[in-house]
Amino acid sequence: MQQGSGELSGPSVAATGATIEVTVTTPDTSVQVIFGDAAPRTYPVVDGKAQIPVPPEVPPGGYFRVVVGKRKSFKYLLVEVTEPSSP
Amino acid sequence: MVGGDAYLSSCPPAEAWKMAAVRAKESALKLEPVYLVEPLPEPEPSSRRAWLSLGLAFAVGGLVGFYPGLRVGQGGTSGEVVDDELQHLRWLAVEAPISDLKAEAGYYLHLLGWKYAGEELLWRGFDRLAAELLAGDASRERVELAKFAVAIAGQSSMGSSASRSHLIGALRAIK
Repeated sequence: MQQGSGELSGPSVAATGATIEVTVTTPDTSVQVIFGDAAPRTYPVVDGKAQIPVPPEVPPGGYFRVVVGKRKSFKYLLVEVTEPSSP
Repeated sequence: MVGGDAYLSSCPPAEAWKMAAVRAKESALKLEPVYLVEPLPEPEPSSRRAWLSLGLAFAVGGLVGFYPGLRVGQGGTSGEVVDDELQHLRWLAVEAPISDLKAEAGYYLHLLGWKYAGEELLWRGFDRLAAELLAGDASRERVELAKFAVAIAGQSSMGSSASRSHLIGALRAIK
């Protein structure tokens, strides 16, 4: 399921161990991934896309967020982590 | 002047006396330049420089004291150094029009959850924002923001405190 505006969009759920792809249409060259009060991790935006592995410390049922910009130009995605699907 | 002592001695006494009187008078009226040399007065401390120094010291002292005082006066606690970001968030929390808080709601919640979860004052802004979301019209943005607010509150003891539980429950119900 997709979420977000045209400037930052991506899935709203992701399984533990997966990598998600977010689309960035702003001039930003990187996005930040934050979970709780941990230090943010930065991922580059290449051709308007950023590949983000699900933070392993986020348990299933928890959330992490992908953010870009500041103040009024701030955009975010809230991604819920789920159990990995069984084969 | 004609003659000298020899001339006077050759003159009759009366004439000599007259000539001597004229000479004495001339010599009494002669102006001699007098140069008085005295040491220059001791230079006094430059009052202008002293005033400039005093003024400069006052200005610098005023600036050094005024800025931290202003920051504390705007909401910081005594001795606390408040950065611009936190100062802005505090303004949004309790002073700004709700429209300003809403305009930066995502950023506000993000920083609250990530950096300032221990700032009680900022949770008052959270409460304002939550009340606004609960009173708002149905929209996708409202649903996403309510979900974001619930996620942020769930990460903090202040956010998930008993006094806020009814608010979180109501936000969770926004679909």
